[in-house]
Amino acid sequence: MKSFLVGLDGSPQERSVLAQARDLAERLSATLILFRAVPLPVELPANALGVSPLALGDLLVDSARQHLAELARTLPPGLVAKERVDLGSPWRAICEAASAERVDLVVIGSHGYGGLDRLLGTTAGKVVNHADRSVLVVRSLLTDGS
Amino acid sequence: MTLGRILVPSDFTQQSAEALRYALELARSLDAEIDLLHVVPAPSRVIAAVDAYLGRPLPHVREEVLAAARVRLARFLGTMNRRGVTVHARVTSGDPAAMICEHAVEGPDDLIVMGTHGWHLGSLACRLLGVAPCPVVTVRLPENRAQPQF
Repeated sequence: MKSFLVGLDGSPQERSVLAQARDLAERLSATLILFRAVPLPVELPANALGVSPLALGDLLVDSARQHLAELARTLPPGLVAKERVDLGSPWRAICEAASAERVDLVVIGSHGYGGLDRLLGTTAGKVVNHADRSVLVVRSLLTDGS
Repeated sequence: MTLGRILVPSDFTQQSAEALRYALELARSLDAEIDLLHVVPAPSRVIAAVDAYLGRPLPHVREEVLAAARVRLARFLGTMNRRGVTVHARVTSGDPAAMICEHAVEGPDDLIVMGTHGWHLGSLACRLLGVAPCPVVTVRLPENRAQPQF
């Protein structure tokens, strides 16, 4: 196994998901692709109200990209192969990015991406259903502990 | 995350063979052991309790059936390259999804590796994702990689 795509979502649980992905990748000498899907039109930052609708997508993607870059800085050099941000619904974006990057494994948390998913875990369930490769669903420790 | 023990539920299908192959490779890299579990389908404990109460013949699964399943599991395992990996093969009976979930929750395993059947998860995978206290890997058959459908 050479590369993992890690689905991150900006939630408090994502660090636990990333830590577990890092742990496994280090043991298997794999590299990580940090991925974040930007769904529209939720998660609008305050400065989004002042931009034209056409620029909104870019603004959100940039903000997500900065977020991934910050996370990547917390990891040892060489572990992160790349960071990738796509617009779209998270489960679909993760499945498409996993195929496009031809990763060996998708790593996602069992919760995240908003209130309903917290109960149902629908993003994780849909990715497992629809991804054309193997998926590792990890427990988000923060969720379990609270 | 400690990964000393990996649970692989098996129903002898191509999907579970792929999952076992994957788990063996993983176990070799991580120096982990594998718990290979096959559940002979049988009525759930509730039904068994009702049958016992009503004086119907028990047990539902005869010892010969379990013995045959043990032989089949050993043969299934024999087709794999298990070099360097300790595999604990075990056969039990009951409602497969419930037994596997129970094993996942109460057993010593740190990771579950299971096959998936095509584009929609079986009830087992759905239930496991909901209850498993440890991470779960769902393994996709390689030939499906060629044609993703949404």
